[in-house]
Amino acid sequence: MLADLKPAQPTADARRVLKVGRFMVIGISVLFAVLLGRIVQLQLAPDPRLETRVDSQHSSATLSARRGALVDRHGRMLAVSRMAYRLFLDPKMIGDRNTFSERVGYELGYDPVDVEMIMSQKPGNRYISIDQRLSEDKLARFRELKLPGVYVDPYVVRDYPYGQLAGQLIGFVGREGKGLDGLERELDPVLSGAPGRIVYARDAGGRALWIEADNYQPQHDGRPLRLSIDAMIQSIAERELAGAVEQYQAKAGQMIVMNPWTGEILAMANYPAFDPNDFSRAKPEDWRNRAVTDVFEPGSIFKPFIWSMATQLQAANPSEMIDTTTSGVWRSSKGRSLRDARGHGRIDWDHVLIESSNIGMAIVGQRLGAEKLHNIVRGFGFGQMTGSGLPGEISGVVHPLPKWTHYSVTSIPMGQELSVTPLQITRAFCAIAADGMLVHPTIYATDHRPEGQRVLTANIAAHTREVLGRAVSEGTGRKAQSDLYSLFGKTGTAQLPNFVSGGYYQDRYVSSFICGGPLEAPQLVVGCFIHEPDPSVGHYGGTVAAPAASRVIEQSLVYLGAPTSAAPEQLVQAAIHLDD
Amino acid sequence: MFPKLAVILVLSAVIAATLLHLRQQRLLLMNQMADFQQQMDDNREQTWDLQVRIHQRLTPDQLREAIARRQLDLAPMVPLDPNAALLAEAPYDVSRP
Repeated sequence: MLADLKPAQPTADARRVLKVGRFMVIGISVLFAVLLGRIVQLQLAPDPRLETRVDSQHSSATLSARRGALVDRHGRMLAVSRMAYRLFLDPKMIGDRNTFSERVGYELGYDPVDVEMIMSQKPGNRYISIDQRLSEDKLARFRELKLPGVYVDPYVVRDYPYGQLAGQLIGFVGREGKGLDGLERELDPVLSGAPGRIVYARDAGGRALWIEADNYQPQHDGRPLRLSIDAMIQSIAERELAGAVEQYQAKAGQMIVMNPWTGEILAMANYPAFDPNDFSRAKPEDWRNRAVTDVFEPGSIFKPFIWSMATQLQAANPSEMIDTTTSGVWRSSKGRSLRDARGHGRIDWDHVLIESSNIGMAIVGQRLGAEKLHNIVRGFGFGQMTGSGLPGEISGVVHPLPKWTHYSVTSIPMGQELSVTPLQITRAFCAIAADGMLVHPTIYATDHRPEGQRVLTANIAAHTREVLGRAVSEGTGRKAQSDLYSLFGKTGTAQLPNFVSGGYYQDRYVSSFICGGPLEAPQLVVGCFIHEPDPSVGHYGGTVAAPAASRVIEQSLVYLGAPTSAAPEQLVQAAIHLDD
Repeated sequence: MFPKLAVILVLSAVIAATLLHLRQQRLLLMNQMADFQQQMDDNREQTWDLQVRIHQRLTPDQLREAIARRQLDLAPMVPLDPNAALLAEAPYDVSRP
């Protein structure tokens, strides 16, 4: 019975199945082992031909980095980067060459003869550029058509959406994306970005399969910068400056608008202007920001600085009567003959500034003496860089004290024997507007009041403003009077020095006007400088520069929402006037 | 022996299939990532373009023209009369000449 319980012997078929099964298992295991070995070999020591083939399925692309934008104080983009598209042809990919140029010409709006000519000029070339920068319409048309052999090549360009607005200040970049002039050049290290790199694995059709993780370098965009410029005020300044220069057929002009409390430059206009979008068409000398790169002898607009400090140092008292002669001619203690435009006779110290008397200023200049005058000039920041950081800024010319002559004590008080930049003198005027605090001008927007340097007491600054207010209402600056705001300002009509034969030209002038407002609580300072107006049309600062500066400050204050003290009937007229 | 090998074989096949599936999923995800990267680049470039177009249409001259077209008068702000009870009772109406 027990023998019956023995396991049954497998049949021949079962043994064969078992045998085949074992072979298969062993075979498959060996196959797996071989595959594993091949994988290890491919990973560790692949065939070079295979490597080449795999590499050809990869392609790298550059990730465009965006250059930082330059924006105005309200975020309006003055300089910004965007993509542009270059149209090019690959003759090898063109189907029917006979009809190609006609088709491209007809569909995309190019002259077929030009297309044919460009192609024939570069035989064998597979990258023939037809259009350096496709217009939006042509790009849309190109995308619709999908013409074989015609491609676009994207690249980053710099755009200046506001055209010539603040052109000299902003500057421009070259084709390689490097800043070449203006703030674009000065701030290049901050604005420039670093492009990234990406490697794609591609299929046989060139479609991107995936990104190779080890070969991905993200791009780093440049940092955008917020400038203190207000595009609206800049536009007002440029328009009024152009109007004044053209009306008086002058050679050039500058206009600066500043916040006297913070030193922020709200507008810096130059005429002639140029469009940074098309800088190569402008003359290189027109690229220059002459508000900081060029100097001029200021003339009478310099008087308020000496006048206010002379008052503070008690070299003259406001009520003191000064004999400026009835003939308008006076001879200094050293024998120098000076003239006023007309004889004012005996006038008080306030009227010396209101009437802009050269003689009155010279008399008090003698009292002050050379050393004090030199300290006053340096104290207001003349002969030094303003610290604005604007590219190309120069320090102006103030001779060292040992080089001063006995003429200097009479010349300096009326703005001769020294040269200043428009920015320097506008900044110095800001000290009078800001209760005697001299701040550094800045081109960057700021939300706080910087610490300034006190050059005048608040009382003297307020008194100077009051007297300058009278210079506008009853003195040389009458044409700057505003219906809406009380302004304070000073005119200047400086003859140009003749560096060849010495002395001054009799018919070449710089007509200028600096003003601030409103008188009760100054918010803005405007400097207007018109170079070489046609004397047959007009050349006095009060005629040429004052009306333009007044319109700029008036419109800017309205734009900024500064409350007016004008009567209602004047407001109605003013509203009409502003629309004009 | 045979059953053990068979089990190992089956398990290996299952593991291989799973790994292949996971690899395929990884490739799909990487492919999607590549697509997203390209979309991101395209969107970035489109944003740049739109920013420029917006600012080209908002220049001070164009704003001035728009104000003139709608016959709006730019008039200065007037300080309110401290005795006025309501803003609507401000002393002067300077909105229209």
